[in-house]
Amino acid sequence: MTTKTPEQLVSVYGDMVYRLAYAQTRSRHDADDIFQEVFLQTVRKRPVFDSVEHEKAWLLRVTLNCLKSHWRMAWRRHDTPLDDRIPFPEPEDSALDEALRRLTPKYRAAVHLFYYEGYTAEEIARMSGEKPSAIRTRLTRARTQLRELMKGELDDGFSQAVPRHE
Amino acid sequence: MDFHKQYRGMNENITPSDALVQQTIAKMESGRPHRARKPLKIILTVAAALACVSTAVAANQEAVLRVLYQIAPGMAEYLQPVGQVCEDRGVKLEVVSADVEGSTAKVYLSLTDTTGSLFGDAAPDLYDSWSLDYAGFGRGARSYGCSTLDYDPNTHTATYFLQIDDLNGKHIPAGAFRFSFNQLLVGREKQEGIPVTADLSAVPKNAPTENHAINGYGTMNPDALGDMDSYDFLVPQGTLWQSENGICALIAAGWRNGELHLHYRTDGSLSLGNHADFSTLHLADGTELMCDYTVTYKDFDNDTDYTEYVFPMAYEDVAGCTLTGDLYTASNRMDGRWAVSFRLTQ
Repeated sequence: MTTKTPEQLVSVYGDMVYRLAYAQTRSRHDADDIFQEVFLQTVRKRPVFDSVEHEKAWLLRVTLNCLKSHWRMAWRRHDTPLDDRIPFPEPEDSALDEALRRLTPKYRAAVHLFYYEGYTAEEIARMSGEKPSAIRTRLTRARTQLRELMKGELDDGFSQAVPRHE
Repeated sequence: MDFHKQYRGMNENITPSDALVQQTIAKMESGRPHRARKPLKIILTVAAALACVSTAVAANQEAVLRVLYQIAPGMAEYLQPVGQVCEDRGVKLEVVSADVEGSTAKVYLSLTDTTGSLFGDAAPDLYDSWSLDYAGFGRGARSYGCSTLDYDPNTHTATYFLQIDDLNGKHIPAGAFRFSFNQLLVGREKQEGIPVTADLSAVPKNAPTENHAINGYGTMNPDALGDMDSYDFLVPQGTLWQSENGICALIAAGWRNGELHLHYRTDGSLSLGNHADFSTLHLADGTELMCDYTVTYKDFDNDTDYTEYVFPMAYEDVAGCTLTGDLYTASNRMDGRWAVSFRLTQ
């Protein structure tokens, strides 16, 4: 099982989990729920990791699974969430945020894992339990939609593979 | 626009709040096997020091303080002891401690089943009937959160954490607060992975349907369903399967247009918060399949939910499916009046 204390786990991986949760839900309220559920799973499941990479991938996979459950149960909430978007004061960022909101959640997750976390389509496929071809198709369609929504403001390099980064 | 660079820059501002982080760590700690308890002498010393400040120290405060120091020591150090108690119908409410800092108010409270026969094996649910009133709140947007931190089945005591944030960042001034609630769901139970042993070998194609106005739907792709007001649900075909407690049943199955439709009934969703989840199944080769969407309508007169789960599937795959589900129920809802008033300072 992980050798990290709860405080260490949240400190090391908290931002990563929260960013993926927000990337897909675009809601602070929902991302908060997902964030907490993911880390509580580390206590319930007590997973055994053989490397830091394994630990990180496990947390991302659990985040994706929690997001699936979240969408199924979203309408059951007793309260109506307030508009809880994270504001982006810069016009370019705000425009990109609006465009991302118009992608389907699955596309947003693929975009985030590819462009922010630096995973390949194959690695994302293993994480999400889907076929690499499905992930590649999803990324292609996401790029097409974003290019249309941003009215050609995206650079030509957008369609190229992004080098893996740490 | 360099998408890669811009997307990375945007995400640098997306982080969890400090309150969320602290609350999450506290809940993780409460779920771990208990660490060696701090020496009782130290805890009693702290409790005694706090008792000198408070004018009303309740018997449960020591036990709850012990929980707080284990799961949130950093926060517990700064909390003001309250120790105000109210008891009704065998349930004792104690506001143990609280803190107001800036635009955030935090309250730790406990509920104890003094009879030993009400709560069962799980913490009761306040069922959204709680409120924290304060004249100084005035108008303005606030967010409220209530979470269960701990449940001790030996002492039948549950510990809860409440947080109220003024979303405009307005400071919450010192003054008199009143915490109250009037409903409790008790005898809560969670059953996961229940086998749904219905015979799927003769699921009808294009079974009869009837249209109902819907009360909600769930999907990964809301845009695909659009603004749907009604849906053609399967006509009930009898009880194809029922849970042991009788609360949940599969009442119809059908296949049409490349989709398997499974229609379930759940009783007591409004009165007891009962709910179920049948959104995944396993194909004959063991592959897990998630439903594309769910649609629900409510029979308010009889307090029954009808939910149809829709799975994308070839007809020849239906017979080999294995169905399971999760069920969340309560045995009783208690109505009463529990209220505690206390004063806090900044």
